[in-house]
Amino acid sequence: MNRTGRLEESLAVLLCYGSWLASAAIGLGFALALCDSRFGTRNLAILPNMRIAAIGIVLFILLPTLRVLLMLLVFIREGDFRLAATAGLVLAIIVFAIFLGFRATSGGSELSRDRARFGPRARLPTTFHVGKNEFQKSLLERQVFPFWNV
Amino acid sequence: MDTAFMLWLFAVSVAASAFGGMLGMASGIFIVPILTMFGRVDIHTAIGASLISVIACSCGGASPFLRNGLTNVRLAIVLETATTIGALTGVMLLGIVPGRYLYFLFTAILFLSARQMLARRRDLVLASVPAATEDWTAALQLDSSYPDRELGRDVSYRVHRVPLGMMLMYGAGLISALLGIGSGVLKIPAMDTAMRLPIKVSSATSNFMIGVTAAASAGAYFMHGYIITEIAGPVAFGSVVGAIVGARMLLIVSNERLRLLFVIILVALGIQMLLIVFGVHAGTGPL
Repeated sequence: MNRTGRLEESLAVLLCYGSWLASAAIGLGFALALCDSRFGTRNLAILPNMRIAAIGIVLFILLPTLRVLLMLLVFIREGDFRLAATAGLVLAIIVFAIFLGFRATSGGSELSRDRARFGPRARLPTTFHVGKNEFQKSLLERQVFPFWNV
Repeated sequence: MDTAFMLWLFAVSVAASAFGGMLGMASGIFIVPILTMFGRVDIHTAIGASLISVIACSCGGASPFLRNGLTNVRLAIVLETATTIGALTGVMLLGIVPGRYLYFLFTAILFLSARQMLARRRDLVLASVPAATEDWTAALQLDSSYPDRELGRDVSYRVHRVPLGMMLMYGAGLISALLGIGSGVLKIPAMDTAMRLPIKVSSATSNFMIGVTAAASAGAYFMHGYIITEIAGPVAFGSVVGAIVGARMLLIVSNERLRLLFVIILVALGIQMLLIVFGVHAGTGPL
């Protein structure tokens, strides 16, 4: 019972500080981007700041994975090999899922619509989705976003 | 990229997460419909952003539950094998299932959640006295106890029907990866009804598990290029802020009226998504 309590405490510490760090990175990047857009050049100055936010996002994806790794190590140390194997399996599945996503990217796909519209190198959108009317196209061209218009 | 749009994303996420947090629900179920319908963001990008916010809320909220001994860590890791395999299946289906079907599936989940909100969750634990410990539970030592403040003592509980729970969890992982939500709709029946966990344990354990499930699919979405910092960043940050606000407001607001408002919003979002599926564009449709 005491041992499990220690595992839970270390998990709580990892998740708590990890979330603070990741949120801080995203918040910082976001805040810097906002400051830059007020006082600097729009669209151009955002790039390096959003990279800080991107690090925060990657941290958030890694955090649960690290949590499983921590559980794996603790279960091994406690000699609880059934649960250690279970944790190892979960870890393997996560890595495999990421690998699958990687494989799919190299094939190329139609997903670049939003990357072109919102992504770091967004200029005027070059491709339009089928079925958009002229009004919507002109909104996109002027980079006017729909929440003003709904 | 317009910074005004980022501010809008942030504000919407704070509101969705605070509102969801007041009833112990993840914000994904609101964020995906709002981003697709009002932000005209592609559904896959919206799901990617929502997955990050799901991870953020799960990790950020886990510590108090862990420290109070409400989370069954051993059970969580066992069930996570099922949820991550479900997420893996969802990721494989990613390129195959057209966006239109995702809208349809999302509508179904919205209506199911609304129905579930109306029904009360009840503890089945006290009503049932188990005859014998089951194989899985014994082999993995899943039975545990939690401190109940109201009763002022530790309450021990047994974990029932693990295989059935795992099957439901597989479904929950699949839905989570496809739609970017925590899929509490499937987890609540799995943990409360099938496995007969006490509500507090079931909520804490399910919150703990969602992060890992979402991380498996978010990793794949990230590699796919569906997670765009300019959208996912404000949404995740807004959700964290909203979750903190929601936890504070939980103490002030009446639960009953909130529940009804929640049901109405879920149904309204469901109807609007259904209209989009059938090509009726209310306002600006994303398809």
